[in-house]
Amino acid sequence: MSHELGPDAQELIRRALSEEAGPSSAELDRIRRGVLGASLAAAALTASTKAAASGSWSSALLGAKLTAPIASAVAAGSLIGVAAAVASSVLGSPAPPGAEMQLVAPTPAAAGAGSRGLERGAVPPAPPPSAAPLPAEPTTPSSGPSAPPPSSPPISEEPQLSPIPVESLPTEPLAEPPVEPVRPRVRAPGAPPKPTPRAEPPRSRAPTTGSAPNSSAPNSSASNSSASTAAGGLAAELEVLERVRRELRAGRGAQALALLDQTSGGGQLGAERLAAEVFAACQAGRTERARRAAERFLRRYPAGALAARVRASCVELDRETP
Amino acid sequence: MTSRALLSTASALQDTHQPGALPLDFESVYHLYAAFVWRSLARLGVPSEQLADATQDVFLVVHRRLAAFEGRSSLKTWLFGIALRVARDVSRRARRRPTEPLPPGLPAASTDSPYESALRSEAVGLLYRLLDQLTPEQRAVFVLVELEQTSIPEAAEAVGANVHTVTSRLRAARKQFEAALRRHQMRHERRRP
Repeated sequence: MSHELGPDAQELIRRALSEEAGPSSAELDRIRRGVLGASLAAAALTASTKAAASGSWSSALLGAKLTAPIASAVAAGSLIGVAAAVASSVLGSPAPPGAEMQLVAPTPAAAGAGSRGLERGAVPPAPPPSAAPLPAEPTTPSSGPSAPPPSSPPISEEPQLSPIPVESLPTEPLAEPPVEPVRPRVRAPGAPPKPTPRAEPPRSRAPTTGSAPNSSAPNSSASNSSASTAAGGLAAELEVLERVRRELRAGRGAQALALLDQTSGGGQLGAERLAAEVFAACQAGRTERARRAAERFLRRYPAGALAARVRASCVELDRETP
Repeated sequence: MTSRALLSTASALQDTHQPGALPLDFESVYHLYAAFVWRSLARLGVPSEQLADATQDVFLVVHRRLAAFEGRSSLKTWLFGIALRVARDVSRRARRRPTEPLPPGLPAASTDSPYESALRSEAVGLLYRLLDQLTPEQRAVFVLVELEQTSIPEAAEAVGANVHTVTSRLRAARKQFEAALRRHQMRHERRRP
């Protein structure tokens, strides 16, 4: 190297590194719980449709309910948890035997607990998580105009919770880091909107309890900041996948496909989105497109529960396809 | 995970995870590298008030993709690559959402709270300010090589560029850093009575 750092620069770096502060242990624990909470939610919902795997994909969706971790994530106002839940509910995959998924409304205690927006998913302090309601914060899903509040699946009144050990949860191996932000799924101003099957007003995420936070309610700037950090791209992805899910549940594969075509991919739920394209194309009878999407999916994500479902879809893939 | 189990797993995680070695588990990776990820994000310019969220974003990806990690690069390099993408994402969002102007009469605030500012040492603060003078590409390479003592090939893998490009960026980053430090020293000298 022709140019090395001089002694002053090296001394500055040495001093700075020796004095540089890291996160507190409490902070680290909060982050860890947030990660595991969101992942639990995704895993539980991914598991939700395995119970119905013997039936059609659509029937699996219809029967899909959420388990305790999802309920906790929702109760926590967990954007990522709910996003993962909705995404997974679109795609479905194996569930533990007898696992019945039930999305429950946030309890008043859960809705009122928590201190900040960091815990986008919430789990007990140490794995395996217990089934106890988790302390969580009611966060606003998004403060930006371009990220509509995510919709929630229908909410049941039966908070029958059962724990799922973190260690037993499946992960979805991905070939690409899905951290690229998702552009807001809004049409350009002036662009004619493509026809959507039905216009539904945005719903609040937890509409069944009076104590549930309102997304438009004023909040502290700290929690707004935390929530909005995660909200932008993920909320948009969530919205799209939730709409796709509704179309597929209604048997309108063509509309689901159109929804996917109207929006751009490349976000954090890229695998779920691509799998949704496979299933939507199958339902719309567009087998060639389904086959291409399935091949693309399996090249990127050859392993995992979603890959198994893609292989089991309407497409017939070559044996060489991973 | 008990501390003993953590330590035994930790030995299998040091730097390069060999294919076929002990399976990586999230808890061990988190305990070993969460502080590293946090500091890397700070060095890459993520504002202090967003460090927790950004760290969480990194580990959401880690949790999801850990099973697919094949050990072709060091775990640290892999984590830094993810942190780099998250930091860019944070930066893009910040540009997209410009800060609203403060109401008249209120002083402009730094991104740190007074408490954080007090905690942050002069040397760390100066280091971060000098890093702010680098381009994002230069900064990533500089952080990896000069602060993390990463080799050039590993840095190249982390930032997704070839070795020549990384070498060139590092050279430019060093010059830029030195120049910024000299400017700071000159200002400091002028202020002295």
